[in-house]
Amino acid sequence: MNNAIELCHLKKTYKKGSTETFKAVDDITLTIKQGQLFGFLGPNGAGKTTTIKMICSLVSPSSGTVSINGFDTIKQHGKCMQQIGAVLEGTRNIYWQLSPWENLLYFGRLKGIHTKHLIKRAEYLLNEFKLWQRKDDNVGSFSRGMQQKVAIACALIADPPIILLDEPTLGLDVQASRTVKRIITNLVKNEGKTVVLTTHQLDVAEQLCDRIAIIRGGKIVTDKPTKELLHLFKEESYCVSIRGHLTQQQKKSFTACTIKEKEEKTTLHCSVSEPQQLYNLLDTIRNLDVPLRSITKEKHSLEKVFVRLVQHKGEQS
Amino acid sequence: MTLSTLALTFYNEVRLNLQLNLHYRFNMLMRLIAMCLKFIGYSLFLFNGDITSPELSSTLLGYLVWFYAFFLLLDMSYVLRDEIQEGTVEQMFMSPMPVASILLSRIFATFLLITAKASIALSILAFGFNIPVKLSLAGLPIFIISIFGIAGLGLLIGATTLLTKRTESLGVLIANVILFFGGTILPIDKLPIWVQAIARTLPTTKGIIMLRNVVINNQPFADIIRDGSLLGLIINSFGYFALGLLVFNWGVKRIKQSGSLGQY
Repeated sequence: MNNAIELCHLKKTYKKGSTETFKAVDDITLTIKQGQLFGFLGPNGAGKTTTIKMICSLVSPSSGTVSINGFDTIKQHGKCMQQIGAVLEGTRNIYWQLSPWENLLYFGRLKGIHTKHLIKRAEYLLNEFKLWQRKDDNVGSFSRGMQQKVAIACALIADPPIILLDEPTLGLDVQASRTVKRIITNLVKNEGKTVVLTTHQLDVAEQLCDRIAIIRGGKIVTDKPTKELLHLFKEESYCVSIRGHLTQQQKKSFTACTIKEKEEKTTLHCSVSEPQQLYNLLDTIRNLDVPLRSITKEKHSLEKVFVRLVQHKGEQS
Repeated sequence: MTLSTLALTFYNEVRLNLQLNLHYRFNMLMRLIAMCLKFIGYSLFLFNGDITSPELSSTLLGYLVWFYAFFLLLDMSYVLRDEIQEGTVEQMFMSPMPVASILLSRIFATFLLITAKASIALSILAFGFNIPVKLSLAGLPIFIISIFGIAGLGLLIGATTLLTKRTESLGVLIANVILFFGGTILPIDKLPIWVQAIARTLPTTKGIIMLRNVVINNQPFADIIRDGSLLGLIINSFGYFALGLLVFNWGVKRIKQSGSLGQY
């Protein structure tokens, strides 16, 4: 499989005032294979959007290179821009005063495609995204979810092999978010496109991405296939539910667990790295004679991995 | 970039400009009426209340050139600002075509639509107020060359809008300088000597003087070639145009370095 995107020692430093500087991206080297659904995660100000904008050639790198399907974004700008379609975060991306049809034709021509070649593609996208019935209405009158669908359709009008989506489900309701997620999955599975996704919604990344990179302070903290990332911290986690509250003395026996008390119920979240620890935990519960309600194995979640990784690196730095 | 993609970009921008103008047609109509009233107001003042004076056609010709400059500068300030706010400008930067060529297409598309607006305004003035309108094809080459100078100004404002986001005041300032000191309303020989020197460097002044000579005073076109004034106009207009392109490309480079394209 060829590389769709290659970032090589990419750095971006912004001037902050007259003397200070701020490193938004600090030496990122990364390759994204064709047909991958790649998630780019990180806390606010981590450098996700700057990286995406450097891929889109909207921000010039301070040093390093970006190549899209083998084309350099600086030296071969035109070729690169033919390879990508993007929906950026926090902006409309499309003209709300125009209809979906007018937007699609405008952005298609902006990509250098003649109208006669655009008609079929626009019809296909409007049908695919279930927008055909409202193709002539102003986008401004649409719901947020529909507007986002139009923006994604416009990013796809030139049928680019690479799609960059910056927070595509932000501010969408459950239904709209589900539709957008379905569209993204179809782009990769049915059309073989490469999708780069940035999001704060970790469940979205967990559901969709085959590979995830976590960025913090402009550096890649981790970059692994999603399944591998979820098993990054090997210990199993168990949720022990107890009736009533534990005494201070009893709490001392569960130092390895996080204790949460709520009304007449106490929940212990315990990490277990080897089977013997689980037996010990059960023994402690039995010996203290605490009224056990249930004990369940917790699923690995990207949120936990993310928080641990980001916190861990934060403490290190 | 081939001629065919350039034509496609121009067509695309004409369509967009038309669609957006139609969307805000009420505002456009009100602005047109305001522009007509402004001209009538100036004329009443200059010609002691006689707006049917034959001399008025000379003033109207200058005002017409200013009309183009005013609408273009306004468009480059307001429309580009809106695009930055809405994020469509980022999509423009992600086109395979050079950004300068897209903006230039937009500028010439705007000129095309200003022509439609100017026709409406001239009709209102001619038929509604009996203001004498004198136009001739002989003035067309002079007008087209002048347009390039105004386009250069448009590119300058475009670059400033990208960098500083709000340039309406600068647009209005330049438009007012052209209106009062560029020979638009008052012939420049009525201005103080030092103002005349500045006025002659403005992108519209030479064009307005030559248009008046050719269209109103029936000066043969060959005369303006012979006396070198056409060459002066070409140098002035294309000088502004080249400066505009240079500054715009510098602005694009600068904004990519600062990463503030989408910031508002």
